[in-house]
Amino acid sequence: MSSDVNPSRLKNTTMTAGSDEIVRSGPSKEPLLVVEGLAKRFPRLDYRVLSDVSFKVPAGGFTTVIGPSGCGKTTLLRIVGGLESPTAGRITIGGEPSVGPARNKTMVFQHFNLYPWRTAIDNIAYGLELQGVSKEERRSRAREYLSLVGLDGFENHYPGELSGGMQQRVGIARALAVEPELLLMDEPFGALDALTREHLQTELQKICAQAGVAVLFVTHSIDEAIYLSDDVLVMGTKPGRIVRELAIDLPRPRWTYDARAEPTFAETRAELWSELEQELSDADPTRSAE
Amino acid sequence: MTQDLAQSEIALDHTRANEKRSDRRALLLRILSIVVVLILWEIIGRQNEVFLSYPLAVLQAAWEVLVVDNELLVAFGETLHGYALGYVAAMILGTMLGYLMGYFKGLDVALGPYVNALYATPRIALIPLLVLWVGIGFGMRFTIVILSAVFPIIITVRDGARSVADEFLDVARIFVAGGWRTWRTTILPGSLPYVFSALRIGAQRSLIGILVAEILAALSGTGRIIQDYGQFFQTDRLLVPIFAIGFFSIFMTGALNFIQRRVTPWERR
Repeated sequence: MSSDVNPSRLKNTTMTAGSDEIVRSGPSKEPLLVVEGLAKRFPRLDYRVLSDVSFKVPAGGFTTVIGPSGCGKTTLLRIVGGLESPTAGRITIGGEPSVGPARNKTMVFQHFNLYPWRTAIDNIAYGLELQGVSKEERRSRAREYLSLVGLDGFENHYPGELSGGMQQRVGIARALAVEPELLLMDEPFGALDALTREHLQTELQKICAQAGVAVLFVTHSIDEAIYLSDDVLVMGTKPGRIVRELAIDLPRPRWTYDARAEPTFAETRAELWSELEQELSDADPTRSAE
Repeated sequence: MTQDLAQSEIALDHTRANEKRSDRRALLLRILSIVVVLILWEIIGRQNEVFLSYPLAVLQAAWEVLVVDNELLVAFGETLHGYALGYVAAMILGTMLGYLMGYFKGLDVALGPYVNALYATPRIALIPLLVLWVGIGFGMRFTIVILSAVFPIIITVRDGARSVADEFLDVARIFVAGGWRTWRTTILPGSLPYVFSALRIGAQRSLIGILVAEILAALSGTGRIIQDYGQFFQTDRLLVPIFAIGFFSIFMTGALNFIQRRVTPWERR
């Protein structure tokens, strides 16, 4: 590998406008992840967590799932990751059916889930180690990703010696080090303070642009969703389903200007907020009896 | 961020300095407490020689049994021989079974009743039976040590294997680790604190087991000389093997703690 991270997959930046779809600023339109008719039901509780969820994530694209808590967005992400199995539906990645965990997709967890018994560099090298990459090679590759997430000099720190923000950087590097096509992120900044959170949102955009990875991101922050995404999927509750799909029409790269101050940003926020408010009042038993 | 780190390191230095200071104070207090107790014992013990004996008499007795008669080392050697081999066997057998039972539900269901029943049965009740089965020599020591240590080890290691957080298992799964690699990279390191607890409990239980067996079945060894000195009211001598056992037990726990700190450098840094 060259010093550049995965140059082969750096995404093209040509603008393409779809006939029936939204204008994208960054990614190509080739769908990487296709989810069709996904449903999940817990038989014991006779409770439908997800119902008929379908969407696509283009290669190199950034799609965010947003919704009130308990709407099943984490379950959706875990099913796509292969950590849980769906009751019905189909998931394909790059045209191939994707059942169970696989090398072409990894996950970044809300609570980082770093191994406390491994140093930062060994945490990052974990996936490579399981793939049988030689010790030399995986250390040098892990070091590249360590520096990609801005943690040069911290390779021998244990997670317990790093701040939350730094731990999540390690989590991101660990997921990217295996060079997945699809990165699943489960409220990755949810456990961080507001400042660290905003800082990492910008960092994440740069990192994703460089690694050329497609992202499926789960959050309950509207601003985070708008700032990061090409597409936002709004989920409703009981059962969890997609109620709205919205393209974010803000030019990239967004860290070069104050994207959060754009009129489009405010408009999109208002639109998403009214959509979510509807879902919240539907979901909240104190507002409407079931 | 770098500033964050600098600050947290300063904070860390402060706590380390504080810890050192309180460590020193604790040590001083401990030594003082030992000295006071020894002096009190000497004063009271001199009036009750058979009941209590006293530190200087015990020291002299130690010299006699260790150097003049050379009884203690021979007896202790015999005890240690059975103890060490039995403990190592229990350690290997116990951790292996513990992990297997923690991992394979079926095995736990099948073996659980035996393990729980034998764990609940006071092992010393088995000694008369063991006299029949393995005699009163090395076989008895070896067997009673295994029986004393292996069940608590199995149960603690099994619980440790189960205690590894789902969050860590998710990581192993998402990176497509198989069964063996999940164990080696996730379950084993995640359960090490339990394994060391198991080994400490095992070390204690086997020491109790072997001494009781030596006293009860009239074997040779440390238990036997404790019995002999007791019967002849040689209280000063009697206390020598008791202290030796005590020190040995402290040594075992200390050694296991030391190894644990070396093997788990991420804890308490």
